[in-house]
Formats: sequence, structure tokens, C-alpha cells
Amino acid sequence: MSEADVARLAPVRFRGRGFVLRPRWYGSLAAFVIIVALWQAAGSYGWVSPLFLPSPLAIVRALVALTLSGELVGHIAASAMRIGVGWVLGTAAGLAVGLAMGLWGLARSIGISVVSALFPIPKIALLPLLILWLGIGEPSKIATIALGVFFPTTIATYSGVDSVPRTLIRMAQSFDLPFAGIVRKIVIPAALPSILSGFRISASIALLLVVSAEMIGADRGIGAFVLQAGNLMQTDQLLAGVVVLSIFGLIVARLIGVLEARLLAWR
Amino acid sequence: MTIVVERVSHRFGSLDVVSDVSFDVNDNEIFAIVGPSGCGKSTLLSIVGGLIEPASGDVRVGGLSPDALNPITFVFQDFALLPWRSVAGNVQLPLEHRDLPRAEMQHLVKDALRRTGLTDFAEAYPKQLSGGMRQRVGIARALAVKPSILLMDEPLSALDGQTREILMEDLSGLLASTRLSALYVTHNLDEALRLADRIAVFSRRPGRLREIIDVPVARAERTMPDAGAELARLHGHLWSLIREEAIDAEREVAHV
Amino acid sequence: MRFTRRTFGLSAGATLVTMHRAALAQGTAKVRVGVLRLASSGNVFIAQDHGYFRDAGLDVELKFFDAAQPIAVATASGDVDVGVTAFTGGLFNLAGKGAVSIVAGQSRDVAGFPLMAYLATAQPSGASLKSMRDIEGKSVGITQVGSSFHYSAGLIAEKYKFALSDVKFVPLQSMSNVASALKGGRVEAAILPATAAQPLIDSGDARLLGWGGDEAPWQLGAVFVSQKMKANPDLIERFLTAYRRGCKDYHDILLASVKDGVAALTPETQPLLDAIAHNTNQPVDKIRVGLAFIDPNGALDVQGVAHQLAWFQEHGFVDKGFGLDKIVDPRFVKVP
Repeated sequence: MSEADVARLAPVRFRGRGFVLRPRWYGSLAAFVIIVALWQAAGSYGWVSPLFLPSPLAIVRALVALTLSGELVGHIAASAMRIGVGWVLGTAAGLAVGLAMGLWGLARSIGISVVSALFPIPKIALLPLLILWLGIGEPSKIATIALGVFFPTTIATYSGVDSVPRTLIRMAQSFDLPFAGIVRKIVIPAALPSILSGFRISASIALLLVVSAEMIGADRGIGAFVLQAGNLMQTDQLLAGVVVLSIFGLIVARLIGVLEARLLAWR
Repeated sequence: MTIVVERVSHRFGSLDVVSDVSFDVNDNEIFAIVGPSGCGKSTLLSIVGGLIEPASGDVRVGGLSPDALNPITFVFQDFALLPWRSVAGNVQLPLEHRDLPRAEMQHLVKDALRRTGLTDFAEAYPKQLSGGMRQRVGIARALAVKPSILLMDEPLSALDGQTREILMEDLSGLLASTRLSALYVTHNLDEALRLADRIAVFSRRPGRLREIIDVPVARAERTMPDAGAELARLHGHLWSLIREEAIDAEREVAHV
Repeated sequence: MRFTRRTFGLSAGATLVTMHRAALAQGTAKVRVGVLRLASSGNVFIAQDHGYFRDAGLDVELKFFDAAQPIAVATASGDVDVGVTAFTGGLFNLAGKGAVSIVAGQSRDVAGFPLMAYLATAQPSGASLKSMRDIEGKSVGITQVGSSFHYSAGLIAEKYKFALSDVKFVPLQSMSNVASALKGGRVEAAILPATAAQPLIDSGDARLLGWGGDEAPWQLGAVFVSQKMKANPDLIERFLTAYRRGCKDYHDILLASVKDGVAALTPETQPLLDAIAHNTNQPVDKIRVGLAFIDPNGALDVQGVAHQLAWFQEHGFVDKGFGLDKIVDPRFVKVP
């Protein structure tokens, strides 16, 4: 083609624009700032009665007062203990049962029916029973959380074991690895991603359940505090407690994120 | 170290996959099994390696080296590497439960990595490696346990053409320098003709042994120009045996 | 659903309703009253069934609730116009924010009228309790922190000069939870209303230590109005007139006939008892026992309530920074 010919040719129009998500870091921050600002304005300008929606400033004030009086530390310590112990117990039991269900047909058959039957029961509905069995002290509160954590952990564990590539197990068998070695070196590491995403769910459930668990016979704890504030219509305190619970949730999510980054670096 | 396969049959449910197969593999011999997809060659290999129990017949081995840590060892088509372990960690896996002194174990790992050209990649993770390098790890892991019998299940079929060519060269060198018997399952006639002393041709399902062909050229001389004509003749013969079956196999609708 | 209207976007509707009310001021005005389905609301039931509200030109609709707290909230949100129930921390907080105003008194815990029962468990752990003052150092089941029961115990602690913090209160949310915890010996003592306490005493699951009113009387219940209602003092006045007629009947006829804790069945008391029985869905024989005290004029024990407010504020259940004058409607309750 001559140069003149080439000059006559039309350029190709770019049509590949869009549909590629590029996260903008400032997006979430801006949304947060705007929402809080609007919220504060609604209170300051009297668009909404502070009774129905306390302003962010009022919540911060309540939080500061709670912190200074030392009350907050006591509530957080009590709840953290219940969440921590309950979560660890429920997780340990869930891992053991889930692993057994993943490895042995008999355990699977028994476990599936038991889990299917018991998982959908709201744990709060069992609270009165737990109180009869374990009293109104710490054990019933911890058991409520442990029970809530147990089922999702069990399910995450055995579906994780199910997803272990069959060929890895055959490989290990071809090298005569003993049963325990296959479980420890192949099955558990391969099931770990599923188990860790189970942790995300079970940790949120533990946070949800601490409020229910502290309904009965608790004078300390974030859940008890939120309930009391609700009973007394101290809405600013109520939301202060909710903020603390949210921060709990963020911290736990972050911790699990760190754990995943550590343990699943190979992905 | 000989392998005797005697009247082995196997079925999955109502599907016959291996039917009445018998053959022997001699000491220090590379024995290839070729056949169309789904002819039960991989199943047969698993039976020989003790990973599948045959419905009937049996497999015997003899003359295994007392030095062998894992006398019968596999190399897998999909590499079967642990993604959470480094290259060295993967090679070390089959040694960890063998009661070896630490230094001995490290030496075995190092030696296997050196022989497969992986020394510089010891700390890398599988996902960082190309397919060819991953299968080198699979081969290094198999060599580290000093096997008497090596069972290779389509070890190169997951690789692209050039990589396959390179690995074939390496593999032929490794097999020449190591004293062992090997079963090499493949659907690729060139691999069989390059690596094997004898080639067994299987019919499609149920897998039956049709013919065993000697490759009358020494393994070391296969790449030499003189060998070309003889190998081409054998290739033609093998293809004539397999062609119809391969076409049928390809047209088959899966029984799922 | 009894909540006909929600809280937000209410103002326009409220204006309309107010205009409507004003137009009807001479005729019949509609008033929604939140009450508990308990005999302690007897005066309201009498005023309703005997037509006292109608005589005052009011079309009263009773809305029944399960607990005192939701009545305060419903009044604050305007879902009911008038609330008649016990004081709670929530009521004080809502009143302190101006969402409701107190206009009259209701039941009182006084000597001779069993209302708040102090109970010890019949299990061995309750054996050391002899009287109400022995709750010091014991675990005591109550429904909620900052409830009437909590305050009653506070009065006992004041009277016998021990620190309330020496009592280990166990909040159990509902009366049935408290009852079962007491039965099982999970708490050493509990404070329950007479209606819930009697079955436990009768079955031998609990031992009565005493009645709160015998030791430390106080104003238990109040009448309070929503902001919307507050703008219409004529309507409140008419409501209170009828309400006091109910109080008077309840006090002068029903309570006057009480002997040994049981109201007599006479031609005078029968229609009053019927009105209460009809509204609470309970047999007359049950209603006759353990009627709560209500002042014949529906008067509010102003000093007692001031003390109560101060106590709630001192214990952090109610926001500080306001006094009784802020939460009562001065046109109907005089604060000295």
C-alpha cells in the first residue's frame, strides 16, 4: 500500500473500556465520612430527635465517659473472656468432629444427620435449657457461644476435608506415609483454607451470640450493657455499645486476615 | 527387580476396564504401555503399584534392592505436589517417616535436586514454577527414595510440546544413569519410542494386551540419525495398531 | 398490629390529627391508652367498662402490652396517647428527654397490699435467709437491672443501711426465668410481683420473706401522656376526670371490702370485679386476691417519685441533669 492509501485507512476504535474494577481506596473512607457527617447534621440541626437517633458526637461522649469510668474495660474483659473461651471450645470440638466426619464413613453418616438436625435450631432458644443444665454463671454463657461456633466449624472442616485433592492422598499412600502422617501433612493443610473461612463465620457468630448469652444473669459484658441500655432507653449508650461490638468485629476480621496471610501464603 | 503381571482384570461397577492382562518386566528394563484414552492403562499402573486392588489376577515383584527406601514409586501425571511446601519440602516429604538421620535426609534431598537441576529452586513454591519444573520436582521426589521400580503415569502429558521434549531428554538421561525397572504409561508414541525397551499396545476398553513390540535400537542411540528409519517404521506399525481404536475412543459418549 | 403509625415522618400526620381533635373537642375524642393486662390496671378497666371515659366525651381504645417498658416507648413514639403503668428507668429517661410527661399516679406499694414479694429459694442455699434484710450478700434474681424490683431492693438497703452493691443482682429478663432460677436454687433469693410469687409459695418452691410495701412503701405506677396529647390539656383533664372516677370506685368499693387480702363478693364489688376480669381474661376469684393499692384521687406521691428519680440517676440508670419538675406536667402535678 502506498502512503496515501494508508492515510485513507480508518483507525480502529477502542471498545474495551469498562468492566474492569479498580478499587479506589478513598471510596470507602469518603462514604464513611459523608454518612457520619450527615448523621451528625441530622442531630445538630434537629432533623431527627436525639431520642430516636443519638448523634455520633453523643455516642463518642458516651464512649469517652464509659472509658474514663473504667466501666468499659470491665465490660470488654468479661465479654472477651466469654467469646474467647467459648470460641476456642466450640472450634476445638468442631475441628475434631469435622475431621472425623471427613475421614470415616460411619462418623459422616452419624454426624450429617445430627448436624442437620441441630444446626438450624436457634441457639438462643436453647438458652433456658442450658441454664437448667449449667446454671446462670459463666458455663451457660460460654456453652451458648461454643454451641453456636461448633456447627459452622464442623461443616467447614468436613467440607474442607472433602475438597482435599484425591491425588495428593494417593501420592502420600504411594510413599507409604502412615495414616496419622497423611492426616497431619496432607489432609489438614489442604483443608485449612476452608477451615479458616469457617473461622470468619464462627467468629461473627460468637460476637452475635455474646449479646444473647449475656441476657441472662450477667451484670458485666458488652452484651449485658447493650441490653441494659436498651431496657433503660439510654439510646446513646446503646449505640456506644453497638460501636464497641462493631470494633470487636473489625478486630476479629483483621486477626483472621493476618492468620490467613500467614498460613495460606502458598496460595 | 522384575515385575510379573498375571491375568489381571479389573472393573469399576459394571464397567470392565482391564481384562486378563499378563506380562513381565525384566530387570533394568523400561516397559511402556500405550493405548487410546480410557484403555485402563492408568488403572493397570495403580494395580501394579498397590493403589488399586485388582478384581482378579495378581502382581508380583522380585529382586528389590535392599537400599530402596520406597521400592515401588510413582511419578504422577498431575505432579501431585503439596502447594504449601517448597520444592525441597516436597522432595523431603516421603523421607520424613523413614527414621533417617537428619543429615542423611538432607543429603538425599540435595542429591535428588541436583540430579534434576532444581538446586537453585529448592526454596521456591510449586505455584511459582512452570509445568516442566513442577514435574522435575515430582521426578526428584521419586528419585530421592531410591526406588527399584518406577511407575510413571503419563508424566509428560500435562506439558506443552517443547517442555515435553526437554524433559524427555532429561528423563532418558536419568533412567540411563539409575538402575531400576520402570513402567511408563503414555498415549504418546514418540515418548514410548524414545524411552522404552519394549512397548505393550493396549486395546480400548476393556483394556486388553494386543501386542508387545521390541524396540531394537539401544536407548542411548535413539536420537542418532541412523535410528530414524527404524523408529519411523515402528511408529507406523504402532499407529496402525492403535488408529482405529483411537478413532472409536474419541467418538465414544461418556457413560456418566 | 397495634402500631398503626411509625415514629418518623409523623409531624405532618400529627398536625392533622391535632386539628381533627380540636374540631372534635366538644364531641367525642379518640384516645389510645397503653396498659398491662393486670389487675393493677383495674381502675382503668372500671372507667372503661362503666362508661366513665364515654361520659367525659372520650372514645378510649385500650392497647394491651406485655411489659411496662414498651408502654413508655409506645407513648414516646406516639403509638398510644396515654400510658398507665409502672415507673421504669426507661420511662424516666424518655420523660427526661421530653418525650412523655407524667400527669397522675397509679398503683402504690404500701403496707397491707401485697405487691412486691421477697422470696427465698426452698433449696438449701436459701436456708440462711430469714427476712428481707438478709438479701445482703446474697444472689437475688430480678427481671432487669433498673427495674421496679431493683428499686424496691434499693429502698430495703436504704432502710437497713447496707450497701446495695453488696447484693448480687442477677438480671434474668423475664419473670418466668426468675421463677425457674429460684425454683432450681440458681439464685438464693428473688423479687417477684405477688401474682407470680403466690404459685411458688403455694407449691413450696419458695419461702416468703416479706412484702416490699410493708417495709418501704413507694409509688409504683403513673399516668403519662405523649407530646401530642400534652398539647391538648383539655383532653388530659377529661381523661383524668374519668380516670379518677375509676380510682375512686376501685379504692372506696373494692379495696374497702378487702379482708385478709381478699375482696368481698357483694352486689357493689361484683360489677367492678367483672370489669377487671373481663379485661384481664382472668376469673373473678383470682382477681379478688392481692389487689394493689391505688390512691382514690389518682394522686402522685411527688416526694417518693423525686426520691426514685434521684436513686435511678445515682445508679446511672437514668441520665443526670434533670429533676422531677422536668418530667411532670405542672398543670396536673404540683411539684413543691
